[in-house]
Amino acid sequence: MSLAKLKTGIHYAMLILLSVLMVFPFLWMFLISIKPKSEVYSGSLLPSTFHFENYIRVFTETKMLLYLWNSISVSLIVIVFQIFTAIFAAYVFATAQKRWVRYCFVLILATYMLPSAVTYIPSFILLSKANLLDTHIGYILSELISIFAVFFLRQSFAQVPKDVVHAAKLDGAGHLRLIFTVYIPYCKNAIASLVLITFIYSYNNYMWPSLLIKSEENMFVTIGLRRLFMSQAGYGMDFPLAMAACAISLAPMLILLAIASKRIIHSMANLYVNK
Amino acid sequence: MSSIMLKSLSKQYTNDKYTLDDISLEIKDKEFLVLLGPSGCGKSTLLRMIAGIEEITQGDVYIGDVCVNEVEPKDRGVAMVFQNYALYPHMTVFENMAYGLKIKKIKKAEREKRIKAAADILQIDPLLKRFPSQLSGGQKQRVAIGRAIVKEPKVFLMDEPLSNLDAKLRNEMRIEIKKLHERLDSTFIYVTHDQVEAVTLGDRIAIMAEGKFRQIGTPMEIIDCPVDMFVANFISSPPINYMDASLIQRDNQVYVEVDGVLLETNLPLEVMEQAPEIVAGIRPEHCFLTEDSEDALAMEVLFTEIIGTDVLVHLKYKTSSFIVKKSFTQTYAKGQKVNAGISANHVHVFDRQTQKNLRCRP
Ligand SMILES: Nc1ncnc2c1ncn2[C@@H]1O[C@H](COP(=O)(O)OP(=O)(O)OP(=O)(O)O)[C@@H](O)[C@H]1O
Ligand SMILES: [Mg+2]
Repeated sequence: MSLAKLKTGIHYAMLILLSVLMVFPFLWMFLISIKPKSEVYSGSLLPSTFHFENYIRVFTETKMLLYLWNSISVSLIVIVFQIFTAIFAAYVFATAQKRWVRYCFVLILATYMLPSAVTYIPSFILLSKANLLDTHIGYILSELISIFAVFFLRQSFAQVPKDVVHAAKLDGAGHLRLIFTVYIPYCKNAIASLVLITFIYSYNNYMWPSLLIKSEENMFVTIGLRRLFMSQAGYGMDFPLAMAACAISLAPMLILLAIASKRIIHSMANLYVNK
Repeated sequence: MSSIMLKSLSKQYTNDKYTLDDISLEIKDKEFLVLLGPSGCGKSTLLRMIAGIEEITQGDVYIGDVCVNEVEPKDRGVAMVFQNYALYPHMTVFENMAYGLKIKKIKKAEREKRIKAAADILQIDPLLKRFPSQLSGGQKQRVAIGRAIVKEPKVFLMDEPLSNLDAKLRNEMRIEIKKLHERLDSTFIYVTHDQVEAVTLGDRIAIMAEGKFRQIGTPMEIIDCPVDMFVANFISSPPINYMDASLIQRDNQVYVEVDGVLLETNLPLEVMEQAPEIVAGIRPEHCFLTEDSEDALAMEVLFTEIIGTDVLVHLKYKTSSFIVKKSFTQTYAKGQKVNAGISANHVHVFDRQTQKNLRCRP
């Protein structure tokens, strides 16, 4: 066997091992979700009988459907606002020549470096003063602007060739027209990536919503799942039901992955790998 | 009125160097001005400052009677063909040309008429539905010209608009641009590296070097009397021959003497008073090859270069090279000994120290 073949062999072996490690918890989750309650601690991986009705029970016995609706609808609203605000901020930061604008950008980036927990208390107090605790509006307000989105879009707006912008200015385009007919179409791939990243982030967001949202009808999937675990802790937890709920909570992400896996991989790679 | 006036215009990109250094120029309404100069001398910078997309460090730009320093690019009534085309990559060729017209709220029928007409002139009709990434360099360049001409502006700024076309297309487009200028009543500022383009298109030519104008004049003036050795070299293609020479006075006539060969000049007698050291500049087309060794310089053939129906004979004279341009009638072998003669009254005389033309500077 040649050295090159050996090398690819090792690469594949490592990838397979890592994939198994990553997939195993999900597989386990799925297997528990179709077990009878009595077999959870039985030690065997496979159930003796299959209980797919656990999935139906998730919808009849818990408020999972409501949580899903809350999560998805609020995430979509958050995306709209974050992209909208990011586009305008990114335009200013990508094009303004003035030195103080650049200082502002650095300052804003610096706040991004802060641990997000630092802002929880002030945000909480502000929202409570506005009487918006435990509301979707309160959550949406606190997520109107994403510094990450501003930074991400600024970087791609900066890629638009200067002379193309100059040509558009000579053709008579003002700021708004420049944004909507030059910058956005030119960066449509980056914006699509940003939409996906923002959605994934918002859907998975746990810590801040868990502080903010208390009442059941406002809960998101992430907090709802925790509630499912907690509420049953007293009288022996219904693990198959909880695991079925977890599996269902993955569904939107899996659908997203099915539709746009290429784009997601691409944008994640762009995000974390230095080109 | 779309005359253009530059008043003491300067541009500094970095603190240590002036890219444009205090230049002034008046371009008349409907004039066709060609900017000619070596790479990096600031031609594009100048165009961009007139268009308003490059900040002015010092000085004023007037279009018509208005100082436009503070006027937005879109309100200056200029259209520009960018050196790197700058097409909108996400729009088709048609949309690229329609973009500016839509903003100006020009009716759809009129838009289509103008784009169709421009596409016909520029031979890009079959490309209208394509995106810029699907075009060759020369095609992009023609689209860029098209995008400018459909706007029918008061002032055209063209930055080497034909540089990427093949010779045949370039000749055709040159004529189209000439026609366009006659039809549109606009003022043109046209950057080129090509002397033929400069001479055939320009009402006046401005020759630039290192951020300054060296000479501004009609093609005739510049060819006839280049102010210095730089200009003479730049406007001449193939390059002008320079030879060390001296001035001699005989019978109230000033002659240039090159190694015993006397060449008539029409210099005034006064130049003899300063007794300057000189360099003679002789254009290749003003030389001829002759059997006669009298009044000619003995040279050796290095190689020949055939250009259309003409031939450039590259010669060696002592240690320097010398080019003769003549019509193509016979071949010359390498190493062949020939005699090069020089037509009377066609020699440019430059001061060796200052490099200035003695005829232009009294
Ligand atoms: N944005 C910039 N920042 C700094 N220097 C610049 C900038 N743009 C141009 N320059 C410099 O200014 C000088 C003039 O550039 P310009 O593009 O006007 O030259 P040009 O005459 O158009 O040359 P070419 O014939 O190669 O197009 C060059 O030395 C160039 O390096
Ligand atoms: Mg240039």
